[in-house]
This record gives sequence, C-alpha cells and structure tokens, in this order.
Amino acid sequence: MSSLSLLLLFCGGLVTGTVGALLGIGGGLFLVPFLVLVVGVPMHQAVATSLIAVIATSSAAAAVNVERGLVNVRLGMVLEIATVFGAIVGALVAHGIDERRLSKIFAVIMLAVALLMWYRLRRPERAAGIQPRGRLSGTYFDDAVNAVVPYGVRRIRETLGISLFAGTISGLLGVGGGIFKVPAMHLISGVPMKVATATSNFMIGVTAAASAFLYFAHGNINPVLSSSAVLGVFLGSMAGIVLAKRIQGRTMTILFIIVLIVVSIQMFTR
Amino acid sequence: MNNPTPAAAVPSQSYERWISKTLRIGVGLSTILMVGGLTIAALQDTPVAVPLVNPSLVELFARLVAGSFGATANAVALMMMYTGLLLLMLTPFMRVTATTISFSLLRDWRFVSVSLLVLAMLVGQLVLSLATSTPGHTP
Repeated sequence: MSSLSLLLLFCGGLVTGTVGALLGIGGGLFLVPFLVLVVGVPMHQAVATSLIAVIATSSAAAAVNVERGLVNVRLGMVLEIATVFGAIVGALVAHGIDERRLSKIFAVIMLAVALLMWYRLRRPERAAGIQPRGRLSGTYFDDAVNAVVPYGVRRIRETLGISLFAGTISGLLGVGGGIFKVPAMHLISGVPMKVATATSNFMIGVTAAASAFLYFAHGNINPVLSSSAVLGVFLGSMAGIVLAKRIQGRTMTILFIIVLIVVSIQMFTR
Repeated sequence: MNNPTPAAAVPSQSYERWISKTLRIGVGLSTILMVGGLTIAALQDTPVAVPLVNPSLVELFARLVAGSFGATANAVALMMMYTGLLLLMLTPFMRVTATTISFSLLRDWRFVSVSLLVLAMLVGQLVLSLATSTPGHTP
C-alpha cells in the first residue's frame, strides 16, 4: 500500500469523522460507504474498520464526559447488558450474510437514520421532568442554566429493548447506534439530552468492542487500512466537536440528510 | 465563586476519574503505536506490503507476549499497527474492569453484578474469537 493510499484513507477518515461529529451521529455511518464505494473495500472489512474507529472516538469523548460528570455510569452499564449482547449476535449474524445483502441492510438503516434526523429537526428537545428517584437517578451541571440539575430515569425496560436493537445494528453494520439510543433515553426514559448523548457515547465503545474481535477473528482487519482510517476518523471527530459549537446550521443538517439518502441509494444499488 | 465550572459544581468522584484515566491511557498508547507504524511504513522506499494472510489472533497475542516484532522495517511497522489496534480494542475491556473495581470499592454490589455480567459477555466473545480465529485474506 503506497503513501498516497495511506493519505487518501486518512483524509477520507478525517472528512467522515468531522461530518459525523458535526451531525452528532458518529463517523461510522459515513466511513463504511466511503470505504466500500470510494476505496472498494469489501463490506465486512469496512464494518470492522468502522467498529475500531467507533471505539477510538467513543473512548476519547467518554474520557472527557465522565470527568465532567455528564455520563450516568450506572445507567450506561445497565444498558450495556443489552447493547453488548446485541452486538455479539449482530457480528455472528453478519458473517452469515453475503456482501450485497449486508450493503442493502446498511442502506435501509442509513435511510432510517436520515428520517430520524429529519424528525429530530422538526421536534424540539423535550425538557426532562422526571423526579430523581431510584439508583439510576443522577445530577449534572447544565451550562445553559448555570446550575446542578437532578433527574430521574423511568421505563428502563423499553430503553433496554431499543438498546438491544442498537447493539445488534452496531455489530452487524459497524455503526455506533447512538442515533437510536439517545432518543430512547431522552424521550422514553426522561434522561436530559446532554446526559443521554454523553451516556450513549460512553456505551458505544464497549458495544463496538463486543463485536470487533469477532471481525478480527475472521481476518477482516487490514492493519494499514484500519490504522490510517481510524486515525483520520479520530482526529476528524475531535475537529467536528469543536466545529459543532460554531456551526449549528439547520441548512447543513438538511444538506447532510440529503447526502445520507443519496448514499443509501448508492449502497442499495451497488 | 460567581461562575462555577462544571467540574467544580459537580465534582467528579474518584471512580469517575479512574475510568477517565483508563480510557485516556488506552487511546493515547494505541494512537502512538498506530502513528509510529504508519510513519515507518510511509518512510520506506517501497510501499508497505500487507500480508495476504493475516496472523490469527492467537499467533498475534503470542508474538506480542514474546516481544517478537519482526526483523524488517515492514514487519515492525505492521506489528506496531496490529498492537495499536488490539490495544484500542481492549480499552473498553479495561474500562469495564475499572468500573467493576470502582463499584466494588463503593460496595455497590448490585452494580458490581451488572458490570461483571457485561465483562463476562465481553470476555466470552473474546474467547470465542480466539477459538475460532483463522487467518484471513486481505487485499
């Protein structure tokens, strides 16, 4: 593999990581199509590379969020029971599915994510109003109101069910699955949006690790390709987090929703 | 203090700092190894040759334990990348272990059980991966 190829992979990872972080959906959803459609990497290898990128970005972000007290560690651990189980099942199922069918499933999930993003754009964030009760409740510091906000957690079974689905999708397609878990935690369990996002990010690294070794075992890791792309996504995500504070355009989100739909059609018809 | 920082307002507990440190160390070390491997690969006159057949997980772990990184620059670069990737993949395991120990120090046995269950599933799939690991083909 030439230096030019390494640079292309790194730059591709950088762009997909930045876009993923800007939209708050992680880099995997853009990295897999980039590797498959642009670089011509087999689908299973692209999924494996994406899973490692998810571990890198999640671990780095979680290190900061845990220290800032934004992560509900107890809630995260409970939901990880479902996501880890789902991820193992997803990875085992993925190896029984051929390349084309896996691409089609990826395309359908991309379309679902585009619709969820559209829904989130139209629906404003709901204020959490659950009384703090039980061992999963917590507190966090909200910059917007400059105060410590206590919150509770309800209907954990439903959120566990959605986490199981998110974990399976992660193991199957190499994406983080936060796009499903964050709305579940926020809308169903009443967890404040900031805590839900940070807790989901905290979880996705463990979820991805639950299936990454199974991909490695099947020989789906190319060290050069994975290292270049993972480092690119990692740096891109960090840049995206910084940029997201400055760019909060509705137009940009709509533009990327269109990109998601176009790429999902390409993945479906390849 | 008129404008408290988040950290001052909600002081992170010692176990949270420990979890955070574990994650930082894992990501930091793996990044150094991957960057090192890629740099060696990029500095070579000829493009880095990726083996047609990857080593199996068992073989890779055995080579790491033995400290056998290879004789050529190509082999060293590849082993550094493999090690970085494996370390990154093991970072969440270390994080769950740190969480389990933290909960046990807090005597929060219910969440020790939850963490242990997650850890058991992670270790279970690692054992399954090691048992079924076969050399694969890379392009």
